[in-house]
Amino acid sequence: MAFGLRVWDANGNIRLDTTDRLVRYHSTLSGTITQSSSPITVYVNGLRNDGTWGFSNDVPLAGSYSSTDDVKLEFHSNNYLKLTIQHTNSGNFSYRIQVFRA
Amino acid sequence: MAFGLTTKNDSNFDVIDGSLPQLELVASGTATVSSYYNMVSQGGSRQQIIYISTAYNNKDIFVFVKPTTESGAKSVGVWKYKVNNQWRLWFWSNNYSSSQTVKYAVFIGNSTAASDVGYGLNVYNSNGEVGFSSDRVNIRAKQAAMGLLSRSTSVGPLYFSSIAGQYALYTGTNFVERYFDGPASFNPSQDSMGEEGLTIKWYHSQIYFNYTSNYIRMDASEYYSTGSVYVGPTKGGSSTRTLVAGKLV
Repeated sequence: MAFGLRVWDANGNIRLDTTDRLVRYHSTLSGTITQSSSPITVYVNGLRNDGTWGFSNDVPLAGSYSSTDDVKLEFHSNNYLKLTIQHTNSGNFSYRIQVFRA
Repeated sequence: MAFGLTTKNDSNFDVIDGSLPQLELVASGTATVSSYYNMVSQGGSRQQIIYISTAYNNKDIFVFVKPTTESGAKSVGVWKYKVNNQWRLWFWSNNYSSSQTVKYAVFIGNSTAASDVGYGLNVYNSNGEVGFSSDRVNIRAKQAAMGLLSRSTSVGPLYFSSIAGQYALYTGTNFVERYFDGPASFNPSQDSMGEEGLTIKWYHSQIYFNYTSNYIRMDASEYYSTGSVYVGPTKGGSSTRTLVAGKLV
């Protein structure tokens, strides 16, 4: 093995190998976007669209089945995500985004 | 790095860096899926709702899924939601059959929990969170991709020599787009969808596993439509989503 770390469990199964990626939690971003402030960018230090970063969101971006609230979530540029309110009745939208490495 | 341990994989990607914590498995099992279409249009019910322990009410959760039967092409959708602040999960598939099930594994983002079993390796960060523990169930992730998901665009695909045993992380939530194919000037009090041949379609995100061609992607399939009831204009649509695939060991 020329590099990296290989870890076995007590039964001899490989738990981690040199070709693996470890999914690691980075941060959680939360806040409220209002119609007057939309769009907003949210800073994530180091964020790249290079196949090693990812994010997930808890709040349905398209709202519920028949509601009119919906938000667009995008990778904006290095270090930034972008949130844009597209339609809204309530005038604001609470977001919660989990950032991770993989 | 003032403490801890740094290791990289063969692509120079940090695997352990003494900073970011490893996810911790908190629930796993097998769940019977429902047909989303049947539930919406034919009065069906959710076949099985998974309740996550209240101990994790205030934690962010990450849900990995895969079909139990690994053959042909199958899709899995996840709806994660809260009732009285408790996480609940419901799974569906458009390859629905009464016997179809999915395997799921739910992780939390960070924790300090690590057992000392007398061997192996525990690495912590400065917050006391576990960066890696050989005693934890690990996601041996192999590939990840970020892309725009909409009714016409998908994320991935991620190709493997074999996708047997591969789980995918279901990022985000289910509803992607409600698409109305009529004009913006449509007025339901004056116009008729039926007479004008117009439809509204709902698209939901799912993980698509193709065991014949060995790839995994995230897409948004049509799960329901109506040609008679005007609910509203097009909404939702293209947003960035992430797809991660790997094995649990």
